[in-house]
Amino acid sequence: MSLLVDIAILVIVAVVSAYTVRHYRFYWDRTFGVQEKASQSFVGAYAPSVSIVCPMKNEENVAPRLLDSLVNMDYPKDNGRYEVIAVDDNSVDKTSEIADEYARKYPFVKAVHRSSSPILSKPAALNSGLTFANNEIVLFFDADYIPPRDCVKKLVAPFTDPLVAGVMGRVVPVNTPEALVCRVLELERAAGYQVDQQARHNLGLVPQYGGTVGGFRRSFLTSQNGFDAYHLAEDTDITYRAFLSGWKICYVNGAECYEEVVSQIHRRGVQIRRWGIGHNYCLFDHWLRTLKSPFLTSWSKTDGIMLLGVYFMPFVQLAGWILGIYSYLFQPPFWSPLLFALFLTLAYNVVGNLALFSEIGSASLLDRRNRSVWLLPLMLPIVLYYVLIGSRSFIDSLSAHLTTRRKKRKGTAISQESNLRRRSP
Amino acid sequence: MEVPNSPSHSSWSLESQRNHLILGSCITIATLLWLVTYVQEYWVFQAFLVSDILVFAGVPHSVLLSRSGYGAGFLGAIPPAFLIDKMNLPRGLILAVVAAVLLAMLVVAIIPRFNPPIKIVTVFFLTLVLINIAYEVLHPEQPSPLQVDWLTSGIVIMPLIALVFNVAIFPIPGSLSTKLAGVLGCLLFSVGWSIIRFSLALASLFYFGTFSFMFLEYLPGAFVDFIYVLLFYSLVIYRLATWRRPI
Repeated sequence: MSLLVDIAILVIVAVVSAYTVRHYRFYWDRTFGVQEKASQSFVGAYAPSVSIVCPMKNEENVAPRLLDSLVNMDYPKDNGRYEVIAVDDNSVDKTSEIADEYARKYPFVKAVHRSSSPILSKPAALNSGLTFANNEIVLFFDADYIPPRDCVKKLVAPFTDPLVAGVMGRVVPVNTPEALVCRVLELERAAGYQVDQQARHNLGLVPQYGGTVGGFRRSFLTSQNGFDAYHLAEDTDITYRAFLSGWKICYVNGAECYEEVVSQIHRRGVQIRRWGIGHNYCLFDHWLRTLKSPFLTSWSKTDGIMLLGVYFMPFVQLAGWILGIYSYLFQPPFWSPLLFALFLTLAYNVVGNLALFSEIGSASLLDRRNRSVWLLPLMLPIVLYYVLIGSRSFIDSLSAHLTTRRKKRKGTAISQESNLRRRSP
Repeated sequence: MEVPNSPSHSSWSLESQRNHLILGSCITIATLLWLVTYVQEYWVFQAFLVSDILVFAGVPHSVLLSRSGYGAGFLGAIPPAFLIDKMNLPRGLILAVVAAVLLAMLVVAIIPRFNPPIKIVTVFFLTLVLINIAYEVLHPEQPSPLQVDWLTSGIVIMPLIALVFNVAIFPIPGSLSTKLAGVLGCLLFSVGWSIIRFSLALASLFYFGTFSFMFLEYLPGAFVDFIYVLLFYSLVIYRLATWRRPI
């Protein structure tokens, strides 16, 4: 038994160490490497026809702000080259009227109402919007986002490359003074986009489409029959479908879009749990295909698998702690590799965890957010919280995956999403 | 809510300071070599300091120092051993502590006013207390292997600190003196912290038994190391971010 525990601990440490190396690689590349600008020299010169789909469900407070930003976008609007499709996803507030009002006022705005659809989910709303999109490129913005005037121009520039299926812009929180949680989330976002996504783009790995502030060629989406309407992480799913079909996704660090992040930690927990469940479904669906893909290099496959496993890692970490406690209680004082285990613990905490935090430090430095770095130690309890939430979401998704067939799992995903939505005001 | 008119965040990158990186690598290698060569002498020095602190705390003890390992390097080094009369906690007290901890966990878990991270961190540390109580019951003997464990952790952390600063701090453009102050400050803090925490743990072994020794020693040990390394890292990054090269 003790040998099994030792082996399990070693395997966990090896997996965690692999993620540590990956984090340091990203940190180094983004901080000191040559930055790939994703065809940004074509900004303004290349202006394909664009449809912008905005799913909205009970968004009366924020919908006018988004629609105002989109109608004032600095992009040629002649000959139907620019259209905005506001999808009202069965709202019970005034979202529907707001969408109609903008559609009346501006000829390039369309209002789509989904009141009797059998599937009420965000990807289903996106697919509805997609059926009304006429243009070559389709971009997506969630209702609580505020795109600046040059955002669309920057996002479409990478499509000059015919191999690019999709783009992803950078998300920047703007309500950071609201609460300490917002400030901490700003650090997380900065590390995730400024360092992780940009490094993955630089290194030709797997930049991820994040579900909003980005988009795809309409031909690609049509070839894939749109988004999986039953998926909790349709963004990750479509990212992998693109890479596994031989396409590329570009990350555009300069295409910033502003968002309001949640200001209460329990709402963040609900978000993480929802993303975790969806992301783990992607892990179950795509890991083998990623491994076998003829289109991906071995490094891309490695990164792709590791990206799929990010919401599996909290569970691995928790399992490591439990096994460590077991060893501590039942194997001492002669449990064999005392010194070695100690070294691993220290190395993991100091070198491993700091790899993640060095990304945040680097992002703060690059964004010139000097004072934000002081919040780094505050992220420790948050990370602890994420480990528990992430572990729970992994157990939920694994049990749903094992106990139901895929079609039934879709039903489980929908009911999980509606439960989580109910809990998230 | 104020929304920026134009992007304020850029896609620039930094030029790594290779000469500083080389210096940082030299410091890492020097720390490692020093550790490998002089670990025995360091342990003896540390043992004298710990012994002085224990005398100050009124803890009767004996220190066993080995001479056989002198000059034999890391693998031949023998750590000092502290012999202390360990307090054996009465079973009634242990049961009372367990009941109090369980009650505290329940109260923290059900009070809606606490945020989930606060609840989780509190329950996490209370769980550590329970684990240490379990250790006290399962292993009532002297925890001498854990003394070795801790003495070792106090020195293993040093090359790790040097390595972390080497990778995450030294290549960043900025004042060399800030970087050197950061890495040396963190190393000195780790030396001081190792001595203080070991003294505290031994004193608590005498006054409160294995329970508090374990709590101070093992599980939060590496975690606490990480916290102060992170604090020094934040401090140095902040100084480097505000650093401007003189014209």
